[in-house]
Amino acid sequence: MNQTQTVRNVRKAAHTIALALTLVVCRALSAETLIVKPGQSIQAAVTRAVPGDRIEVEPGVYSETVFIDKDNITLHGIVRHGDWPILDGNNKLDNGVLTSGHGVTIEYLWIRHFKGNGLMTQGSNNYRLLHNVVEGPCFYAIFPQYGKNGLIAYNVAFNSEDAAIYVGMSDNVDVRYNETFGSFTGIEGENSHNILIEGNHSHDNSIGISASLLPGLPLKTSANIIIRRNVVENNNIPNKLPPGSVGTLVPSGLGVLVLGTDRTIVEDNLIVNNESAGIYIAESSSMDPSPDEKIDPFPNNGQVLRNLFRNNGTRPQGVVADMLDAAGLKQGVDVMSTGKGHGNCIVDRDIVRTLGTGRFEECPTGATSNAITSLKTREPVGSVAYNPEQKGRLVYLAVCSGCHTWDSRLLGPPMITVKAIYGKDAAGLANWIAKPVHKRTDYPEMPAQDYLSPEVRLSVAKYILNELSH
Amino acid sequence: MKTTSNVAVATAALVAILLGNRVVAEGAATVPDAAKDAEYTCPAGTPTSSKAAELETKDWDKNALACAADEWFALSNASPKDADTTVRALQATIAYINHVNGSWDYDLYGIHGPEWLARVGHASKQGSILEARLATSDREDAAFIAARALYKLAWSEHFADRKTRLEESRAAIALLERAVSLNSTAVDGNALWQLGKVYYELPDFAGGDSGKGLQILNRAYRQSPNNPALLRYAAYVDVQENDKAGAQEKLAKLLSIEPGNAGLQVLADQLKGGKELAARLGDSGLEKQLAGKRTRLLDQHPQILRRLPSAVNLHQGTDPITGKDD
Repeated sequence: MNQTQTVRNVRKAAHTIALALTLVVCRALSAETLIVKPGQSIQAAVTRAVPGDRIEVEPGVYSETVFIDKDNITLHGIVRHGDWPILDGNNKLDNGVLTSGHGVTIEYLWIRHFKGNGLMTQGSNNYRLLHNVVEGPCFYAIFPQYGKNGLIAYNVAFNSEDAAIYVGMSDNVDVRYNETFGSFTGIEGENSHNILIEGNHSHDNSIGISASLLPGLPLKTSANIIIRRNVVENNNIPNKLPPGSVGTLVPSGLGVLVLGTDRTIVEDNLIVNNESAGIYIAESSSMDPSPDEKIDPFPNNGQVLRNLFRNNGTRPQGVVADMLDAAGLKQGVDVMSTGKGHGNCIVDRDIVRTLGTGRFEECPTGATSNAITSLKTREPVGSVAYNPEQKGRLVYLAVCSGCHTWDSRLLGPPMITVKAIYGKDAAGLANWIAKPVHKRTDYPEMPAQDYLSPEVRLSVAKYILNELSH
Repeated sequence: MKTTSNVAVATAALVAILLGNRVVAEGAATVPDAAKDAEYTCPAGTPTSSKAAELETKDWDKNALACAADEWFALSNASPKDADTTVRALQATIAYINHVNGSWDYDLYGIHGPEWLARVGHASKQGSILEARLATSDREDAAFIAARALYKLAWSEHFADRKTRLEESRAAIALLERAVSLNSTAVDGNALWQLGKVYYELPDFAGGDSGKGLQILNRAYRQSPNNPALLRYAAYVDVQENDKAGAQEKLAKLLSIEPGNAGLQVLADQLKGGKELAARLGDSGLEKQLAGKRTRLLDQHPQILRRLPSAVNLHQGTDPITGKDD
C-alpha cells in the first residue's frame, strides 16, 4: 500500500467515524418514540433506545424483566378502553421493572406477580413513578432506593409481603395520592430525608404508614418526614412476616409508626379503626435491637399536630398490648409513645387519648407544615452516570441479594461457594448469570438474568468475585 | 422494613433436643444448614470445673462456651445442693447466651435465626433449672441473686416473646435491687450497671425510670471504671443525653483497657461500639484510636468475630455508590 492510498483510507475512515458520531448525536438530540406490541419485548426496545427516548407499550400481557440503565427514558403504558399493558411475572420472575438510569419516568403499567420487586429504582435520581398498578404477591411493590428527587404519585400498590411503597435511603421524595393495601406496611420512608407522604389512602395493611430509622445500613439518620392529609384506616391484617424477621416485632394494627426518625411531622391525617394504636412513636431499638452505635435510635423533635382520630386501640396486638398490660390498661390509645427522645411535641393533648407522652411538650400555637408544598428539589439534581463498579454493586443489591447472602443459604446458594467455583473467572460467571443451568437439586432453579446487558453482568460478576466479602 | 426469606425461617419453631453431649436442631429437612450449625461436640471425658473454666476463656467461640455451660450444668446436677457450683453454672450459661445474643444482633436479617433459636432454646432449658435451684437456696448472697436476674435478662432478650421479656425485665429489677443492696459491686459491677440499663430503657409506664437509670449508671461507672461493657453503655447513654464530655471520658477509659483485663471478644465488641459512638460525637481522633486498637486486637487474634452485618434482601452495610462499608 502506498502513502497516497494510506492517506485516502485514513480520510475515508475519519469521514465514516464523523458521520457515525453525527448520527449518534442527532439521534440523542431528537428523541424517538418506540412502540412495543404484544408478542414483542419491552427490554428489546429499551436496548434500542437512547437517552431521551419514549417507549410506548400497547395493551397486552408481557412476561419479562425490564432493566433500564439509561438516562431520561420514559416507559409509558397505553391504556385503551380499560385494557392495560400488563407486565406479568407469573410468580416465577423476580423483578418487574428495575431502573438505575436517572430521569426515568415509568407510568401507566400494570405490574403483577413478581417474586421480588414490582417496580424498583436503584440509585436513580429525578425519577417519576406515576399511575401504575403494582400487584403482589411480591416482596416490595414500589421500591425506590438510593435516589434523590423522586415523585411517586397516583399509583395503586397492594399485596406485598413487606411494604407496598417503600422509600429506602432516599432524599427529596414526594409520595402523593397513592392507594396501598394488603401489605405489611402501606407506605414506608426508611433511613431517608425530606420525604413528603401526603394525600394517600393506606388501608387494610398491618401498618398504614411508617417513618423509620434502622441500624446496619449505610445511611445513619432519617429525618424531615411529613405525613400529612392521608386517610389511614383499618390497618389490622395480621403481621405475616416470617418469624425471625425484624418486622415480626412490629405489631399489626398501627395507623402511623414513627420509629427513631427525627423531625417527623404527623398532621391533618384521618386515622381510624387501627386496632393497636393510631400513632405509635418509639426508639428504633424497640423494634430492631441490632447494635449500631452510629445511629441515634430515639425519635427527636417530632410534632404530632392536629389529626382526626376515631376508634383506634380497640384490640391491641403484640408489643403494644404488652406495654398497655404493663401500664394496667386493656384498651389502646390514639397516640402512644415509649417516651424516649427529646424535643417532641403534641397538640390537643387534652382531647386525644395518649400514653407515654408525658415528656412531650405542647407544640407552639399555630404550628403547621402547610407552607411546605413539596419536598422535592426545585431543579433536577445533578446526576453522574454510574461507573461499572457502581453498577455492579447496585445490581447485586437489586437483583442478587434477594436470594443470596455471602455465607448462608437463602433461596440460592451462598456466594462464598460461587466464589469458590469461579475464582477469578468473572466472564464465566457473567455468562452463567445470563443462562443458568440447574445443577443443584437442593436449590430452586435460578431465573435467567439475560435482561442485563453483557457489560452489567460482567460488572456484577466482578463485584461478586472481587469485592463482596460479607 | 427488612425481612428475611421464608425459606430461612421456615423452621422458626425449632426445638433443641439434647442427645448426650450433642445438640441437634429439629427441622433439618427444610433447613439442613441450620441444624448443622446448631450442633457441637464437647471434649470427651468426665466434666471437671477446670476443663469448664478453660473452655470459658474462649469467649469468641460459641461451641466452647456451649460446652462450658454444659459441663458446669453436669457438675451442678452431680451436686445439686452445692450452690457455689450452681451459680457458676448459671454464670457460664449466661455468658453463652449473651454470646449467642450478640451474634443474633448482627444477624440483621435472621438468616441464622433457626440456629440461634436452637442454641438459646437448649441453654435456657438448663438455665431455668439452675435458676430455680438457686431460688431455693437460703443463702442471701448478692452474686446468687444477681446471677438469677442476669439470666432472666439474657435468655429473654431475643428468645422470649415481648410480654415475657417485659415480665422478666421487671422481675430482674427487683432481684438486682436486692443484689446491689447487699453488694453494689456484685459480679464485677455488672449487677449495678444492668440495673441502671433496665431502668433507663423501659418505658416509664412499664416500670422504667430514665432519671433513676442515669443515677445508677453514674454510680456504677464510679465504682467499676474498668468494665468495658459498662463503659461503652454509659458512653452511649451520655451521647443520648447530649453529654459529650462524659461520653468522651468513658471512651478514653475504654481505650486504656488491655485484653488481659477483659475477654477478647467482649473487648473487641465494645471497641467497635465505642468507635461508632466516637463517630457520632464527631471526635475523629478518638474514633481513629478506638478503631486502631480494635484492628490491632483483631490482627493479633484472628479468631475474634468481626461482627459484620450480613447483606440480604436489598439491604446491606456497604454503600453501593461509594463502595464504603457501614
